[in-house]
Amino acid sequence: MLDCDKVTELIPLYIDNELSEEERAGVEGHLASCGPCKARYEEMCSLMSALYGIEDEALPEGFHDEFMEKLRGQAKPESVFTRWNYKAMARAGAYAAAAIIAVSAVSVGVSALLSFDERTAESDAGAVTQPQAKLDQPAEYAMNAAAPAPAAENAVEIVPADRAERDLAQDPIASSITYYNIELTVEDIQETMDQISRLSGTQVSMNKTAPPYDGAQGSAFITRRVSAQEFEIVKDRLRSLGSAMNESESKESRSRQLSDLRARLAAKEAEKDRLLNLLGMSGELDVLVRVESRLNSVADESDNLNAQIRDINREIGQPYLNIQIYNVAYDQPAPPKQGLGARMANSFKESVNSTVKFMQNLLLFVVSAAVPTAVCVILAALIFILVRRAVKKRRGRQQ
Amino acid sequence: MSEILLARARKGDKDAFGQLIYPYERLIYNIACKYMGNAEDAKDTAQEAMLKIYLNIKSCRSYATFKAWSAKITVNASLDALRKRARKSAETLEEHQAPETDEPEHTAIINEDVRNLKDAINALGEDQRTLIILRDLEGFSYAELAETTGAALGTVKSRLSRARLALREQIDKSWRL
Repeated sequence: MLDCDKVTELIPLYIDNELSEEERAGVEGHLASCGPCKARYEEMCSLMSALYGIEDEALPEGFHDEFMEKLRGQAKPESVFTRWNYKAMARAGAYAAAAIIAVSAVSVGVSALLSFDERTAESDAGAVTQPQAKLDQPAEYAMNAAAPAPAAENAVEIVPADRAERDLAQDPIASSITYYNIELTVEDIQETMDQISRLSGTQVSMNKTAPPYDGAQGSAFITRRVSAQEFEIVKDRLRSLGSAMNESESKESRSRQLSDLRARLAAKEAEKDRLLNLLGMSGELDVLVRVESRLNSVADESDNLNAQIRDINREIGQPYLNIQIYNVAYDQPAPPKQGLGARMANSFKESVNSTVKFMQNLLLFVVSAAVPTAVCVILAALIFILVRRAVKKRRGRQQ
Repeated sequence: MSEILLARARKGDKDAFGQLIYPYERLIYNIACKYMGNAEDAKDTAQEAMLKIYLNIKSCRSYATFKAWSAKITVNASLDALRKRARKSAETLEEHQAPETDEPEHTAIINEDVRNLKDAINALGEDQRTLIILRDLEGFSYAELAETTGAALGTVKSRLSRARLALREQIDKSWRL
């Protein structure tokens, strides 16, 4: 049952016959039983009659001709795009700004997520013992039902970092390589080089920087390996050869590298076994040829991995010595004395260079910062114009 | 035919626009009359609105919406004209009102009741006044009202209902005074 307030609200629509059947029945039922609402209904009916009774005004004489006269003086209709449509422009600007912000946010989010994933993979998952153990298997492997399925041991095993370290700690071979770096200032570079050679009784391999030997401006850089037994002795002797400017000892772990190489080797060995097995089972010639070819390739890779492991193992027992030798007399050569003209020319050249650099930086700034700033300023101006128009509109309404 | 006239008018054919607007001139003039209250201002406002309709004709999507779209422009032009007039001094305002009594044949005011009714309409807010003028004085359908005001049909119904109730209250108020 409708109450008086609701019926009062519906009366104008009831007069216009714009109510649903249910509402109409409700209103009629209420009007039949409610005197005040009936009176309101009759008031509204008389109001509507009065409104409908207002007659239309006739057009003033010559209205159309006068308008056509005015129309002849007008230009062509304006294009939708050439008119200043502030609202549309502001809306487009807002959409563009929102799109830029959204794209930037998504880019930042995605890059942050990716870098997070990389860090997580590195720190949490630990050492990937077989990062390259994905085998380049021949197609027959997957298709030949008779062939044994790839064994579970071929799967890449991810060993937690702490377990990998523990395994290596228990490994008698795996360890780190020691580097000893020393910078010496000596009277005679050649003599010092000879002494370093004599320290181990063999000719040292030298990586020389020019000019190493010719007089006062010399320097030399030597890298050599010594046995673990003579490492400390050589270090002491090197210190006695001249004045040590800098000295440091560092260790580089090869544990993870070794672990990785061993895992890959194990995978290759397993593949080799499977290929040998397949070779025995298959009777088709073309399959045999392809398996044989793959077997040779795997064997080569296996040998290569073995060689790498051997090299690392050899290095582990032999610390490296990095020796940099400088002549005592070495000094930065003083710049030749210049005349006033030359100094002025140099000064001018420097100022030109700095000006060019400044202009380059300015251009870079204009491209990278000024354009977005200008876009922001334009957007702000548009928003300001819209707000001002809205305020004016409101004031106009109030007036 | 009307679509052809509209297409020609879009291209700047002024004669075609003249033919297109001719059936709606009386409607436009009457809408302006209801807002402006006197024939002279109504004529100027109506012709100003018609020029705006011509200049913006490319924004009119199809002839089906031409009536509502033209009415919208006329309403806005009338409201702008009213605002301009309100900004003028009270003296100028009196000058506009003076001809109403001097030349009754050019005004919409025929008798005292109609004058009271029009005063009550003019005392309403812009939105309610527009709905009353278009629906109750110019006979727009609800769909045309929705097109003109840019509101949903249900919203138009409830707003019009409130506008009529507000008009009745306004008339009661003026009678009490």
